[in-house]
Amino acid sequence: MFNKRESSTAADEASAETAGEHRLGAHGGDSKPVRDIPPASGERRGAAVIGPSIHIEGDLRGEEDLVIEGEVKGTVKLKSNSVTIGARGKVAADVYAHTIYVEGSMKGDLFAAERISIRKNAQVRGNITSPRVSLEDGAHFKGSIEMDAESEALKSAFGDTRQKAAAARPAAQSETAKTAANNQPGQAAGAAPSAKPGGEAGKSSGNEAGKNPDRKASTA
Amino acid sequence: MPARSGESAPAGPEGLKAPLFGGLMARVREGGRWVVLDLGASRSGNIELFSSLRCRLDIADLASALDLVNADVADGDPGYGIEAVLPPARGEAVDLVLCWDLLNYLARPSLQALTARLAARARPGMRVHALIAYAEPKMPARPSVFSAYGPERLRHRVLDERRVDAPRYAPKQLLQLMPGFEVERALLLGNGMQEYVFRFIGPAGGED
Repeated sequence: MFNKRESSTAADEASAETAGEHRLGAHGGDSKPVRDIPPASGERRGAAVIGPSIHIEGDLRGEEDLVIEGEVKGTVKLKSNSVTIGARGKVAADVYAHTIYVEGSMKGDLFAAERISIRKNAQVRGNITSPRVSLEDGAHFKGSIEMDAESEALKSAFGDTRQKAAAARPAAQSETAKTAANNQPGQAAGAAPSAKPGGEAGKSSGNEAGKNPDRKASTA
Repeated sequence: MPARSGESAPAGPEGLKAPLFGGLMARVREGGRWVVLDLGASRSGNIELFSSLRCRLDIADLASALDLVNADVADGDPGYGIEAVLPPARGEAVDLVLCWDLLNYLARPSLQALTARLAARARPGMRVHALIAYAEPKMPARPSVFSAYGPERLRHRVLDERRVDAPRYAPKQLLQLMPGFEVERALLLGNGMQEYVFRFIGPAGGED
C-alpha cells in the first residue's frame, strides 16, 4: 500500500480502498513502486508514498516520512516526521507532523511542530498551527494561521514531542555557542541575529500589557 | 514574481511606503500575542511578516466573495454573507484588522454589516488599517492585491484593468457607515490612496 519514493521500477498500480487504522513503520510499506511522482523539495529520500490511485479512510500513524499523492480522509499523525501532500494529493483530514509541505488539495487542520510550507498551486481550507509558516503567492488559503510558538493549540498538539526536543537542544546549543564565541571575539556567545533589517531579534515574551496601545498609554 | 496576464507589475522595487502600517507593525513587534484578521487574500509577504511574531493570522479572502456578500444585501440579510466569509473567532478577540482596497467594493449595507461583525469580535482599542482609493474618480473593477513588503511597505498589483466609478468615501461618510469606530489617523499615499487607521471605541461610542 505504501510505496518507497526511492523505488524506481515502474509497474501497474493496483487500486486500493482501505478503512480503519493504518500504521507506517520503518519497513511498513510493500514494494509496489509508483511512477511519475513529481519531486517535492520537502520530501526525504526513502519516504513512504501513498500513490495516486490509493484511497484511505481512517487514522494513519507512523514513524517515517510520508508523501501523499492519493486521497486520505480521517487523521494523519506522524508527529516526528514530515508529511508532503503532493500535487495530486487530496487530503480531507487533520494532519499532525514535524514538518508539512502542501502542494495539492487540503481540507482540514494542519499541525506542525516545526514548519508548514504551502506551495503556489496548493488549495488549503482549514486552520494552520505551526511556529513557522510560509506560503507562496498563487496558493489559495482561507482560515486561521496560529504562529504563536507559545499558543495553547501548539502546546496541546505537540507538548510531549516539543518537550523532548527542547530537552535534547541545550547540549547542541552549548556547542554552537562555544563555536560562535571562538569565531567572533567581542560578540556575546549565542546572541541571536536580527531577523529583519532594523528589526528585533527573536520573539518577545508574553507582554500582554504592552500589546494594546490603549492599555499601554493608560499605564504610561 | 512575474505579472500574470491582465495584471500590472508591482510598483517599484521598494514598494509603496505606508507609514501608518509601519506604526502599527511597530506596536505588534513590541510583544504580546496579537490576533490579526486579514480581510484580503492569502499573500506570502503578509504571512512572512507575521510569522516571526506571536500572532494568530486569520485570512478571510473577502475579495473572492464580494458577489456573495453584496448579493446578500438584495436578500435583505446583509450580515449573513459577511459572517460566512469571516473565519471563526475561536474564542479570541481581534486586535488588528487589515482591510486593503476592499471598502470601496462593498455596498453600503454590506459595509455596515462588516463593521457590525468586526465590532462583535473586537478587543477594546482594536485597530483597522484600511487602504481606500480616494483621489481618482475611477478605480479598478476588482480590488487590487496589496501585500506587505517589509514592516512598513506594501506591494501592489492591479488584477483588473477595467475601470469603474469610485465611491470616494469621505472620512465622515465612512464613520457614518462604521458606528463604534473613529479615525485615529489618515494619510494620502503616493499612489493616491488614502491610508486610514480606525480605532474601535465601542458600540456605544464610549472610551474603552
